[in-house]
Amino acid sequence: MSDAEKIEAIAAEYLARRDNSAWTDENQQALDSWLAESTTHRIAYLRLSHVWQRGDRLSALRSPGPQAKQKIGVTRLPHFSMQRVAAGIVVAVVLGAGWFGWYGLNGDSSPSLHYSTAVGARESVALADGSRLILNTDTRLRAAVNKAGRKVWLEQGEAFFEVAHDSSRPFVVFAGDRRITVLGTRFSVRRHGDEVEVVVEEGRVQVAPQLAQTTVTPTVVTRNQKIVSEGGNVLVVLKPAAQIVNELSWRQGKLVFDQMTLAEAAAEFNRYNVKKLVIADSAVAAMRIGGSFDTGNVVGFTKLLQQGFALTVNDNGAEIKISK
Amino acid sequence: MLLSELDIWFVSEVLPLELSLMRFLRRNWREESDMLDLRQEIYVRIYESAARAIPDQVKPFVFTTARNLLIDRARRAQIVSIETVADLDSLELGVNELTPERHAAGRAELRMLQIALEALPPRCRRVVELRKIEGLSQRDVATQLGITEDTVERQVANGVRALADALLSKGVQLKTKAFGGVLAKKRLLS
Repeated sequence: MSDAEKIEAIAAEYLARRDNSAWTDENQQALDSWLAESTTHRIAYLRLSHVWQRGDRLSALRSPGPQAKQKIGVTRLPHFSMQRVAAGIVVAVVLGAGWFGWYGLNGDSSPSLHYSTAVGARESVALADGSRLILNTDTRLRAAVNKAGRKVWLEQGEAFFEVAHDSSRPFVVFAGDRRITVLGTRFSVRRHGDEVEVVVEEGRVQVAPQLAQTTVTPTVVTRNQKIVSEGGNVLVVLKPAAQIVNELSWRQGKLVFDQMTLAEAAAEFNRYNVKKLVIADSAVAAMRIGGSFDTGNVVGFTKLLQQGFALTVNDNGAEIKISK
Repeated sequence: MLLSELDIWFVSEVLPLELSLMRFLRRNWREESDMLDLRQEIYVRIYESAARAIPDQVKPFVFTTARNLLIDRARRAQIVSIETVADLDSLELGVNELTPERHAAGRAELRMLQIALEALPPRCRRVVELRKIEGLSQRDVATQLGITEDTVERQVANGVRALADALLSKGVQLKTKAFGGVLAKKRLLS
């Protein structure tokens, strides 16, 4: 076995153990120190974990429910071959057991799936009902789609939802203290601590406090509207269609600034990059700028500030300071 | 593991080139048994050099690194003839090596994953299916298949290596028309 193969085998063992829910802090420490030992280790692990994560997309192939699964067995019966009949029964029994075991463990819901993205990353996810999600940078969410309903918990960050229409199963997004209910539409939800923002590209969504006992009437947000809520306060803004497109341009990995202050633009960039932009001066922070940039292209952005606005850019390795 | 900016760059910009890189290595280096070590060394050079400064143009950078490594190796190995070294020196990067490449998107990606999954040995495949399609935990997979958790873990380890080979190094051939057809053709050419 070559050196590279040995390393790959160890990386695969770590990855497989980490894929098990029994992963402990000691396991993590062992992995961390192994990764730090050599670039060869880190690369082997990165390569495998990337592929394993790509495999999450296979969840789109999940069958809708036990009824559909049992049909596989039933449809095979008309072929009068003993082997086929036997195979059909085995399939039905095995799948049946799987599903019941599952229901027994989790009540009436299938297990929820967890998705997350690192800073600067973007990921498209297909749910079992045909809905599509795009996760923006540094985002964590959990999705449970089953017969009883369609639910997504946005734990952190921002996601765009393209919801498949199904009036019998409302699609509900829980974000902070808000509950966003839709039947079929396109919209994004961003969570920033307690603040929840909803931007609707098409259709209508209903935004309500998550706690059922509150008597507040839900707010209905329609096309080209944006809602910002924090605590008990709710603000609805009607925006020009072009601006909505700009706000959702992160789906193409772009940031579009239109007369935005430099402080706001820097805050946007900082969501996507580990090395943060710091605006040292309040007059500079209030400057208004426009333009379109790739989310990861901080260098291009700062170059422009240097050349176009004669600002001083100081990159000390940990952060990038911008001043007069 | 927390991914650094460099890790993300490596995964999203360098790994998609693995298929072309392996073709390039096979075309220019005769020892099949050296391939994985060569790839590892090239990746290390790329990663460590990018840690200092991430290159603007990924593809030329990857293939230049590969070429330089082959030249180094050929010079160090006494048995390699002068001609080989001269050949490598004049090695030019073809047009195929310079066109951008990305991971397939959406449906094509799903098809590629499916084909790679179907190529796994039956038990390994079943484990990966339950884990990834049905979303069962390793423990639940073990219960359902009546095997130990250790076995599940071993199958996951085997499975991920086989999937990486299929998806990154060897390339999956899509037979469908439309997007998939174009992609498969592109892969054949590169």
